[in-house]
Amino acid sequence: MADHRLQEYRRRFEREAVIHLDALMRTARRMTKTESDAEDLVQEAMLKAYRFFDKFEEGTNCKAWLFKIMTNIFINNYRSQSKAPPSIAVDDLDDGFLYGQLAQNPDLNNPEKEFFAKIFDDDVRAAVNDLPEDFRVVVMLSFLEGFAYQEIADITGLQIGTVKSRLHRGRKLLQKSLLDYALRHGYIKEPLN
Amino acid sequence: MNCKEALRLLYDVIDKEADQLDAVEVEKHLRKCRHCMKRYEFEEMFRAFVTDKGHNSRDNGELRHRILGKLDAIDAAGEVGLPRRPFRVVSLMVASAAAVIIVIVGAYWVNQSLRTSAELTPFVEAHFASQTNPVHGTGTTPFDYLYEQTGIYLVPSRSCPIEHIQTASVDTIRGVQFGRLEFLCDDGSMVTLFVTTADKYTLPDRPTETVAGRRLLVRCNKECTLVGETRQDLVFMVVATPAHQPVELAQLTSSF
Repeated sequence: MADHRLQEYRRRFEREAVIHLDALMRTARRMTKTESDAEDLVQEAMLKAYRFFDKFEEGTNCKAWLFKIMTNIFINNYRSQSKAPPSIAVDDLDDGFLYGQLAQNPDLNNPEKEFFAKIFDDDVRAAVNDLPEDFRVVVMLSFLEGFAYQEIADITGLQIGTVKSRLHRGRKLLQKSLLDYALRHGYIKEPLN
Repeated sequence: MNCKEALRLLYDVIDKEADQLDAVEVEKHLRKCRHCMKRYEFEEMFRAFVTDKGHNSRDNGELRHRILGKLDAIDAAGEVGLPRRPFRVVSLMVASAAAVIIVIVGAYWVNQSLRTSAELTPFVEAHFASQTNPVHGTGTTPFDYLYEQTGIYLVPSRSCPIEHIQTASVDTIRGVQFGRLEFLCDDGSMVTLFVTTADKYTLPDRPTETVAGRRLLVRCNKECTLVGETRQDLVFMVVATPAHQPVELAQLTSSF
């Protein structure tokens, strides 16, 4: 490849792909167990993306493309072999579970505002981290990275219906977990049932 | 729209996935129904809250620096995009046999995109049916397969277009894994390429010949001619047979 073409290729990659490094790391940290695994995963994804960057269709979503590469590497190389779906009784929780709990709480005049004001950043991060992997990744991609359902389906290779249901259940789990944190730390009191 | 319908669309609307008409209907309902409105506001707030708190602004400067360094190395090695010079299978004159084998594989930037599995031979297609391309999901080529299996990425060049590739597979000898591509030449002869990394396998140091300044391992017998070369961190062995005749590593080592 002529030098100027190489330079342009490199510049384009830095402009369109490397800027998503922080986003990739954010998700990688929640996919892998250690910081160094997360860095290795992101680095491998970036280098693979660079080698294949001529295949990336300009004008399409580069961030989604990078996440897809990273997710594939993760599935192939990092994920533990056990593929058994997590058995979590998510569906025991009603829709609007957290909302309902807060609304019943005698201490809270404006339940949502007070609840949110009392939870720390770390609590939220811990709650996200504690989600089972399948839910965690989908929640991350939607909430934190702002991907659309279809993009998440493309990235993870899941059906769009599965994305929706995992996101839905992930959301419920997250709400339950944050409510538990809040109760455990006495940020709010147990509602009278 | 009633409350039940409005709540059914709750997350679709919050996630901005509901279609326009539904979103408008929900909007109308919310204006009338304080109960649903509060619920929507709560879920919206919850989503925004997690998004906001979940962002972790840790500095990735060091990693970025490291990755950019690796990109420099890739640039310098000419591996970018389509690797510039993964290998060549060169014309080789084997003096006594007066046999000349020239095969050149992958040296140039290729603008044409790789063909999809649908255009490959049925055998290859069947072979790759279960493979997933690391980048493009389901589109597969022998090169993608090799890349997945061995981490080595080769490129078809104009001198060796992909339709000449018969099969791609992985062959193992004494625990060392080689990527294997079979090329069918126009004259009916067949060339098989084996490739692995130099840290796993070292070519025997004789008999060697120096051709155009490159040191090549050369062996030939009645059935085939083998040319081997170590290039940077890759080891290539090219085996030419006069007829279409699959070559296995195990059989090679026993015949030489």
